[in-house]
Amino acid sequence: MKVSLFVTCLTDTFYPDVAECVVRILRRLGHQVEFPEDQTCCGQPALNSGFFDEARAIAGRMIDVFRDAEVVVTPSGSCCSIVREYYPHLFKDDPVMYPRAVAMAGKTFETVEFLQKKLKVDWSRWNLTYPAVATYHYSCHNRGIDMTPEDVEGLIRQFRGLEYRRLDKIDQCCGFGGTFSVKQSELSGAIVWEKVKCIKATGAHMVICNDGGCTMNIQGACRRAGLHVEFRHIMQILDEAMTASRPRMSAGQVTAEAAR
Amino acid sequence: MMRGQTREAFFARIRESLTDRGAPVELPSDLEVARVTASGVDLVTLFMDRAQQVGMRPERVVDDRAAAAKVVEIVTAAGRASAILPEEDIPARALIVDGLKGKGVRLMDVNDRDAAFDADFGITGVSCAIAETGSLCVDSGGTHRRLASLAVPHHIALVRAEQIVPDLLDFAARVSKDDIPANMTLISAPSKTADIEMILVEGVHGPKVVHIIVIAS
Amino acid sequence: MSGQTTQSHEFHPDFKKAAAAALADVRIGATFDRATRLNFDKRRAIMPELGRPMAIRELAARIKDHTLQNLDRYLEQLVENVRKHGGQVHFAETGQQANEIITGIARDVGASLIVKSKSMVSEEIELNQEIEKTGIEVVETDLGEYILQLAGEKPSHIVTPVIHKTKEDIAALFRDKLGIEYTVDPEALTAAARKVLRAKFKAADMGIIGANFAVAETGTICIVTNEGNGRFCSSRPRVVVCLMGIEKVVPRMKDLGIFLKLLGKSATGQRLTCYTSLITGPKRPGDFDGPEEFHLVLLDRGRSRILAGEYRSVLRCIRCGACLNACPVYRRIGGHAYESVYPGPIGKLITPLLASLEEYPDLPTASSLCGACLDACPVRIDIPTYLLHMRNELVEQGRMPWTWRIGFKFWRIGMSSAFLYRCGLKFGRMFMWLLSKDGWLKWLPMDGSGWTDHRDFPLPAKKPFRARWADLQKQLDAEEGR
Repeated sequence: MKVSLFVTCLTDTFYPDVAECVVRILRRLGHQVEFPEDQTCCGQPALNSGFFDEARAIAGRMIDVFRDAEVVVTPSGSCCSIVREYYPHLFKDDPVMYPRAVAMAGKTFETVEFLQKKLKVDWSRWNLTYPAVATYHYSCHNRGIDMTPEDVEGLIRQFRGLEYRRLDKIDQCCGFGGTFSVKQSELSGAIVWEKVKCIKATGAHMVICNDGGCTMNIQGACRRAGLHVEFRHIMQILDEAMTASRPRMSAGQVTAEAAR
Repeated sequence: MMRGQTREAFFARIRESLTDRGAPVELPSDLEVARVTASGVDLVTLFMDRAQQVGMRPERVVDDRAAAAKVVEIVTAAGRASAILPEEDIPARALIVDGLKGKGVRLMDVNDRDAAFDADFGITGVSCAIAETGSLCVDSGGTHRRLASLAVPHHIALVRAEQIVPDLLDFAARVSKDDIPANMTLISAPSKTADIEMILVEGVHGPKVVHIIVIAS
Repeated sequence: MSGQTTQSHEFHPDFKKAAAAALADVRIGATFDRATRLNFDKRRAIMPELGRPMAIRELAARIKDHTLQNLDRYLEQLVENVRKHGGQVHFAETGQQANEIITGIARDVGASLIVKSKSMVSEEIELNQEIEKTGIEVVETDLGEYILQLAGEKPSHIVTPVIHKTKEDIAALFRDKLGIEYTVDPEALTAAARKVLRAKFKAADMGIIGANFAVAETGTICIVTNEGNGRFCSSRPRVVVCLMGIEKVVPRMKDLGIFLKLLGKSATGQRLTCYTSLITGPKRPGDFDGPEEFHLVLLDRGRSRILAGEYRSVLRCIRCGACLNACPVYRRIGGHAYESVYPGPIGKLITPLLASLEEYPDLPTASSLCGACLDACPVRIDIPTYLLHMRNELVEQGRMPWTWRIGFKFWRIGMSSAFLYRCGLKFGRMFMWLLSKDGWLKWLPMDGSGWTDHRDFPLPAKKPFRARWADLQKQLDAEEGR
């Protein structure tokens, strides 16, 4: 498959390593990856703040950038849900753009969703090991793309040596909400503090968090609270584990299998 | 004196608000996707399980005689008591009256509107029962007394197995449009509240204890 | 949007201030978190019992949308059938009219004592205060509402109205107002209230009830309670008045069945509440008990305006409170901070819609759009999308600070070109680097300080992904031997 990477402005800017991991993983699984360099942002900040015209302009541009893509994959669940839920909505009164928006929504996937539900990768063929004591924060926008905490935990449990400690209130929002974090900063601060407390209670030294916005928010709050935990996107963990593993087939076989 | 609006003015405004009703949404005719309980399951057992789960006390007896004996047993268990027993079509009513009188239980005057406030027990039949939710349905009217299942601390309801319908959908289907009572109440648990710090307290305004005698041969 | 205020006296809601006060009170957060999660967990535990809960919720949403689309027709049918069974119907456009109607009825029948079961609509119009002005005693009979009445407070949750009070609070209140010995035992407190209210039920001339639903095809009002007070209020007094918002009507009995299956489960994880009363008119000739007069008061109060607009589906709401229990904001600040009859996610919509956005400009932004509310809603009201639309309205009305308006104009220009985006990023990073230490910033200027007041901000990576792409490709191609 030819996968077009939608890196997202947050990941591009703050977590480029995550995007690199995504590329490596997809190629390892035998897919081609392309990166349309003209991409910028999905438009979420403007949409979120009520600036629909501005959001539409940038969303329209993104739809054009990915017009010829076969399938679009992004490491950010929130950007993915903007595309899936709101791109058609933004253009519902535009007879030209609406079908294009629907088309883009139909071919855009978040990375975990892509691996688990679209490709349905059989991880047992890989010797995935990742020693860590980790917990996981369920990012809200997974709701918009029909991914439950259990869906992601299914992938987390593939790693031998990873002691997984479930977060209390795992699916309660971290309080990022885009512009909410500055517009209603007191509320946002109080809510992220709840999340920090729950993380601390697990005793885990690592937090698996698969959205750039959530990570920025929670990691920043952990630092402020003096709580020393590492943050990883599951793609980083997967990349590391895949690199270290010896699959039960030769590399050539794996590539050939996956490409089918 | 005219208070509020006229019907015409009120509806004119609503109709105006609906000048653009929007894309037509059809009223679904088939609601069976919402069915939880199918017919053909053991309704008596399911009904009793559900009623038990919410804290009511269901018991099964084989016939009217056994039902009457059970009622007398419950009423006299704590010593001298009073009961209000409306003259509605309660299974084994005559037997119950005899049994209670025999044990010295005071039977309240059903035509005294305050009687139920002073009775220890209210004994009623039901118009139907619902297995899905473990509910009893009591209707108003005629010889029924609304307060007999409400103002008393103990309510005893007698249910015949044939009166149990599977699902709320079935209950809704049998409500008559024309011959509907002024009040139908589904009783689905003993009266309770959790208003104080989410702590459960039973027996607020309605009965604290609900016994259900199911007559199933 | 413009319209009536929700409060009749001089009152200026200030959400930021009220929320800040709630945030400063640690006890509020702990109380509401515990209480909401109880019912949140119960709902999630029981909903799978429905087999296909999502399909049923979507069905319920369609029934409501159909009904709202044809509300005039179904209300007419309801009026006909209530009258057919001997009830009287009154029409109130405003809260004031409804108050006049109800106090008028009370005076006409010579009522001196009114017992009331829970009605959120009556809080909207401040009915109790209006009745009390006429010298008639009105008593709330739902335990939570009764406590609030004694304390002179407003509810903090749609379904569990008094969770902001501890049992110690209530013990002191009952000692002071009822003259009983101080006790924190909930059973004893409840028994004390029961004794008082039982006497009221016995003596009351008139009962006022709300309506969870009204069935058009039979003229039936449906009220659901757990305590039994609703039954007393609708059965014992000789005159019963039902106050109802027009959006409560449903077409058929079988539709009521669907909503009953959803309501109890969504609110408190119960299959059904203890009592579901179906009330159709006054007593029939020959009935021993039941009211001699039954009055239905239909209230519009801005609902027809919502009907006309893009937010029509907000009127699907069946007042289950599930969204409150799911909301991270509500869980932390509780209901009073919203300064409205309707708090929580649905309140953020209904409140400005029934009043005006001018009065409540902070509510639409007080959400992280996490979607937990939509996830919980038995009738699938898309609260996050509606909040976005309200934010858009704020923008269109020019209510956003000029810094944001200019900011997004620049943002748009920047994001319209990959080149400008990269430049912006480079300069942004340079500026931030000056403020950073060890890769983190403890302070950001202007609105950014909202972030840094509560958490650190990361310094952007030295090389963004797009600057690494070319090298990454080369490296991977080489590894794969291409």
